Amino acid sequence: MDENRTGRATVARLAEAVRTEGITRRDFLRVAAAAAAASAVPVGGAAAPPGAARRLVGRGRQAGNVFVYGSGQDISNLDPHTGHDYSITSGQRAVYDSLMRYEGNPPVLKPLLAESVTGSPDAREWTITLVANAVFHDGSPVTADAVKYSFDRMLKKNLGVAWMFATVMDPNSVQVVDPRTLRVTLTKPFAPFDATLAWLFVVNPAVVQQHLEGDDEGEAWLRQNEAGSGPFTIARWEPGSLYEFARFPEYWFRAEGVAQPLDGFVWRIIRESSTKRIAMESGELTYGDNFTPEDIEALRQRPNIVVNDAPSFTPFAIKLNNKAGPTADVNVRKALAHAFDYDAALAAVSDRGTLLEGPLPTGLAPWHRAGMPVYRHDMEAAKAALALSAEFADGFELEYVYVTGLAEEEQFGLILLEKAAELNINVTMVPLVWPDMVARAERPESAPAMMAVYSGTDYIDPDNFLWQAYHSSQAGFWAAASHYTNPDLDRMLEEARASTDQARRKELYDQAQLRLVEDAVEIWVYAQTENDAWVNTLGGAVYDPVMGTDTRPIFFAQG
Amino acid sequence: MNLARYALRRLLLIVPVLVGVSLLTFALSRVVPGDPARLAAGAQATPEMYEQIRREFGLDDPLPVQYWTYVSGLVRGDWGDSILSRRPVAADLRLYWPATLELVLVAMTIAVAVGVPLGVLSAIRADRPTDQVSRLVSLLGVSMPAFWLALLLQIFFGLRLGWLPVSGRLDPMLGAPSGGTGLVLVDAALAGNWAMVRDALAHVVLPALTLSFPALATIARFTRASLLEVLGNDYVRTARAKGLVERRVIFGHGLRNAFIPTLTMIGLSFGWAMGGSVLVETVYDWPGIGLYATRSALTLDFMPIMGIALLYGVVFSLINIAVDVAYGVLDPRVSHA
Amino acid sequence: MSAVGVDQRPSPALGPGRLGRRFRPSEQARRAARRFRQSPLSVVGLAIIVAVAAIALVGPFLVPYPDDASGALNIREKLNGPSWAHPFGTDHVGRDVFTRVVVGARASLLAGVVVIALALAVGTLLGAVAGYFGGWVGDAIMRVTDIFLTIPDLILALAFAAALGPGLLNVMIAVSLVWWPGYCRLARANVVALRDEQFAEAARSLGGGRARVLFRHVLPNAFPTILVKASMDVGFAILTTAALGFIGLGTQPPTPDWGVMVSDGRKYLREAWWYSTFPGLAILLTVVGFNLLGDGLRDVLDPRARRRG
Repeated sequence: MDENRTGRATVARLAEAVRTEGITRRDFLRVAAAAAAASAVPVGGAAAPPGAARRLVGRGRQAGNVFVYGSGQDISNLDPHTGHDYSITSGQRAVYDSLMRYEGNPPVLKPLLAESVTGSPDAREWTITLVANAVFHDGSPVTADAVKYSFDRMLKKNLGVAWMFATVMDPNSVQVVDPRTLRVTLTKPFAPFDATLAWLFVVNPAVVQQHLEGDDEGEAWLRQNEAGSGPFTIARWEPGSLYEFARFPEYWFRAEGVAQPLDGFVWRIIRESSTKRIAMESGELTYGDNFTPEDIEALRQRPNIVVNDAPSFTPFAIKLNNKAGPTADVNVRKALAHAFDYDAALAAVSDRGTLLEGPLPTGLAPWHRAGMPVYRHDMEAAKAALALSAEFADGFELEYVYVTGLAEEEQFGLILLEKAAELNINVTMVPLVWPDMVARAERPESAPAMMAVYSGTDYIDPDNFLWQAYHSSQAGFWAAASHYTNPDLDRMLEEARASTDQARRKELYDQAQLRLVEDAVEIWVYAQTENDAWVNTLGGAVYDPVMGTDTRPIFFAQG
Repeated sequence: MNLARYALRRLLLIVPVLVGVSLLTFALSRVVPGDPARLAAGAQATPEMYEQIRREFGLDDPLPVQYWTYVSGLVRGDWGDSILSRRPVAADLRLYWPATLELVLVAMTIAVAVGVPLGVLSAIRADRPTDQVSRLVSLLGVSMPAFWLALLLQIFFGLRLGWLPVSGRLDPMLGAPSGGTGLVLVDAALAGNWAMVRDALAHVVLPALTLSFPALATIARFTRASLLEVLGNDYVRTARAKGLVERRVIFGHGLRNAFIPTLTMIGLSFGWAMGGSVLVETVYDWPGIGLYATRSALTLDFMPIMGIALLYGVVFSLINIAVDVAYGVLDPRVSHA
Repeated sequence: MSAVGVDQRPSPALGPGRLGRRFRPSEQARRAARRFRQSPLSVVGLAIIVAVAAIALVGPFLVPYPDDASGALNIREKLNGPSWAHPFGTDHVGRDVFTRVVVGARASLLAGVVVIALALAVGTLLGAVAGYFGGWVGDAIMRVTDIFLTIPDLILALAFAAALGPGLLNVMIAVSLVWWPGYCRLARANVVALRDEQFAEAARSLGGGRARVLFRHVLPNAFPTILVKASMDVGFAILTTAALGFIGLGTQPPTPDWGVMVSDGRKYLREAWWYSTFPGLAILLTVVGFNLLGDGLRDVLDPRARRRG
């Protein structure tokens, strides 16, 4: 999935001076953390326990109370208000606190920095009360001012997670009532607002202010430094290979059931699944992501390793350009949706996933509309659909654009290529880097006819999936590469996100799903079962399907 | 001294070559498809943000101005920023270069330590079974796809036997090595941290072996050839005629003279190994320049590529000069006038 | 990577002194063929190359599953080990690896030959001009080769290929852009050595124009040495294009490409050793073939170097 769970490049420039300063601060923090952590499990700098009989590789060695995550993806930008993909958010969740948080599977929304969040019946006025004991890593308290500063900064940067907030907030939305209370007045009613608060990370304004450069709001510095209140501070920063986080001894929060919080968190980049599997088997990793299905099955045989079989809410779809080219014709889209071989796609991922029936993951209860007339592999139906559009009867060329090196996306493209050939449609496979794909998606004229997209889950609400991909205001955003616009659908989505009446929302979202399926906006393929594995000594909520990994509820079982 | 003056002149001649390298890579970076500012601005960037980035990167300036900005930055130590990570290229190069240097040094040590004796053996037993085997090794060495050999070694020593780690440079749980050289083996040894030395050695074995193979093959081949040539020379025949025992002929006269051209080969191989590190580092996740180059090229991030080309240009030129100077020291007949 | 062929001096054996005033193909060819046959390894090399070329030409028509090279899939048969039906096993989407290795020969061989042909044409022309006419043009050309030769070839190829975008044609262009300076230097060295030889002087004194003498008299005599280098370099060019494919800059699927296949198979090293192994072997074998052939040709055309290498 490398790169694909949204890499969004951003806007600021780094100065050598600031950076040097940053490194000194990091070193300082590291020394401070090492000195403070009397429990001294080797974190940063310390060597292996003396006298420990280590074999050459350290096979079978316990990593101590340190959570070592092996991932194929780099943490490319730690800035909490501009970077957003699953590796980035794992790092952000380690050093920052958000107002709310998700835990477990199915994910449950729980308060974090917010003691309480209450909305008015019309879902426009929200009151947020903060916990009293949260402190930043410099010891200063987390105040309402810091929260407002973070909201403002996020809205001003307008990147990363801002798409969730920007349509319902303006710079005057947030008011500080007292040091522990904020009032948020949305520009439009927005029912899932509390759920999106899991993505507002709170920064320490005093620290950010020291690192401003031009009008970058400290981004240059925050890309690889932190100004948070989270469970960890940065101990080592080696881009492209390793990031190490050390426990912040004065961390104010402890998740339920956690007797001994983690001493450290290491994000180690191992790009190849087979290599990652060896590291997993030899005990070098406590958690690994994105294995091949073959490696997952092999790891399953290991008594000390647990593999994930829980479905995720990570849908994969082939976005069709609804505005330009042959795919602007609904019959062509229907033909493609019928031509695609869904069972072959599932077989390609060794059945590690669930076929989608429409735009929402089937597991998203109670929101998914069951029993819709979805598209399945049927060449006769495909030919019949294509026959309705005379101008395309003689065949044509279509581009299938996917992330370079992403094996599954390439396989899905090949599956499509094989079947489309029977319709006289010639598919060209175009591997691109993710930023290029994002750029191409922007305008209907440049958007690919077909573009492979995995979308992660930010909050557990149909609004998450439907708004970002199909509301006309989002057209051109990578998730809305289909450039679908439909005033009726807009009205449904707007009303649904404004309503707190769950029955009414369900009704609206059902209509919306039916409408999208009828228009064959995309080829909805499957919701991935994430190919993750971890050691069985881990306790607590290890896996949750929301984007990124949160270490707060995770601990090593004693003994 | 004559030799010093020669070295100095050669050093000065690097400058125009580097200017050429910077021109070449700069030109390349401007023909890359896609708009770098668009990539840097990311999805949903407002037109103002996009404009701001164009200004920041100076993309609106005329090309000669852009080039001048780049080159004058180079002189000040500002090698530009990666468009995607926004990290300064100079900082990245400082971070990744020691890893590659360490890998290449270990590989070249293996290549010389095995290649030269193999070549000598091959020459003194010319056309006998030892020679045939050695020539076969040489042939395989230069013909083997390095990335494929890397995979075979991974399968065999890492996966089947489980003897050696197959990725990375050091077990992260051992902590970061402290010390100034950036070469883990050296830093850990200086600090007396033998567990780390052992771990670093275990990590470097497979990548270094892979990288050394073509160099080893070439050095062996070349040593054999030059030794044979030297052994066929008049003065060696004279030495033989004078009744000097074979061993002394080979090691006394032959090897020293044969080694001089081999030296050139070693210098060239060093450069080859720097290029080959691209593949080896990609397979073994070795956090060096090669991996950095691959990642940058695949994301069309050209500032790092420009920096890498310049860095390698400098290193390669210095090696060439060192070889030529060493030539002069070893072989008084070579004139550096 | 062209390190093996570093000897860039023109061979005295090729000088007109021995061969007479003009290159005489028939006489030389006979002598050459005799020398070539005396070296069994060169014959092996030639046999390999002929076999690979034959496979590239007719293989695609004889393979058991021709559709597997042009888009057919059989997902339920993925990663099956070698068997009678699939001697090299199947890949991650159930295609016959044997078929794809055979069909992949075409792209690899084509890449190797085209790259060297392009590099040779451009490099030799520029080198000949630089060597024959000298002056500031010659200097300028040689300084440009210095620049290219200062950057490790794989890094430069990577940069060119990335800038040009994916696809076999672009990869071929990228690699030839990296390789021409080698030919440029070799050609220049040869031409400089030959231009003042008697036969060239004679041709000029008989009223041949400078360009005419260069192309009709000097270059043909320099050509055998260049050809030796080229025959070896085809192998190395195949190696380099395969390396780029491995990194992710190869032909677009579903067209088979050896380097891309090794790279794809890498994900399944433990379950499916055959997937990466056979395309890798194909690369190795082809490169070995060109190396042996190159060695043999050098023995033929450059007897002075016979005892080496």
